[in-house]
Amino acid sequence: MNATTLAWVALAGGIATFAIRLLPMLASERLQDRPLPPRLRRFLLALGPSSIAAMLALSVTDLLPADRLSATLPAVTAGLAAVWLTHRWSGNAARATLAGTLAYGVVAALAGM
Amino acid sequence: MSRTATTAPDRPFGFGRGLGDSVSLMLGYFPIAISFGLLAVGQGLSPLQALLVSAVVYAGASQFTLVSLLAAGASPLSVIGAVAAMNLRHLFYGPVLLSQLPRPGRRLPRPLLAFGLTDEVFALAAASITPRHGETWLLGVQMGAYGAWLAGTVCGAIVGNVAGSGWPQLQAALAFVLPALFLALLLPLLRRQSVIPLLAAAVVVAILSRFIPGHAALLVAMIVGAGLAALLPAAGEEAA
Repeated sequence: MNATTLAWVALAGGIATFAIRLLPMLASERLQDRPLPPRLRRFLLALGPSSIAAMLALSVTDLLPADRLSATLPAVTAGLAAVWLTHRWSGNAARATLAGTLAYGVVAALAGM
Repeated sequence: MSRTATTAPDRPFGFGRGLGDSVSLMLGYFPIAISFGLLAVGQGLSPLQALLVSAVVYAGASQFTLVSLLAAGASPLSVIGAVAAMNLRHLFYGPVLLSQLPRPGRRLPRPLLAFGLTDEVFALAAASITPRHGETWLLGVQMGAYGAWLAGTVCGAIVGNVAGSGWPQLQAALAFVLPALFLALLLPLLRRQSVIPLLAAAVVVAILSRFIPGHAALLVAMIVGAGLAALLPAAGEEAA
């Protein structure tokens, strides 16, 4: 891979990503004094939770390939259960994340994944 | 995560608190960035070039795509187009977070806040922001996540080969970090009225991702979930 090509592609990709993140932000600030229609406001407020739910489903689906479902399902179930229980007990996302990862890793190792 | 306040009642959460709240993101980012470092070096990049891509692009999945496509000989323009298309879902993130952040308080330059608006930063912020979470808090979250991403990339590029070949079970366990993080972020948001839109988003992405790329399925699912919430007033208010 040519170093110069890589550098300018990385730079252009970075600028494109940055523009996608920045421009709507600037536009929304210019419009912020105009009251949003209630449905649009509800839509925007619900985007965050919806995106988290979608990212969760997508990342779990990636871990459950159809041809290895019986082998991978116990570890995923154990991990999700550990997150839920730890979050219920501690209310702390970092602890819950660690506990879920640990539970997944242990069950996956026992299952020989 | 940061919903329980322990400091003075009127004092807004600032940079340090945001940095502390980003620990769960650091845990999620570090192993993925190690994987990226490994991949980049495996595709012929030097550690410095891998770090350059992480520092400049800073968008997980599209970085993997960028390096893989370039290594496969794709044209630079098509690679840039793919990166941009994969990140189109980020269009919503800035306006949503600005609408949630309290207006009084310190205002930071928008380019500074926009640079670090990744999926996970957005998810954490959207789940955490209260009237006490200011813009400097968001910057702290972003800096923690960015630091972990860069550190992980360097580790992956320099010493990751050892971990990759020597500790396969550790690598397997780390694959679950992001699902665990997303569930931990989602749990505090669950209300009876928000179940239908959230479930719809999850089902849509699970089905669509079998037929179209994950990033495109994600965008559609977000819109479907939020659209349902908008059409069901009570659900929309609870989901927020």
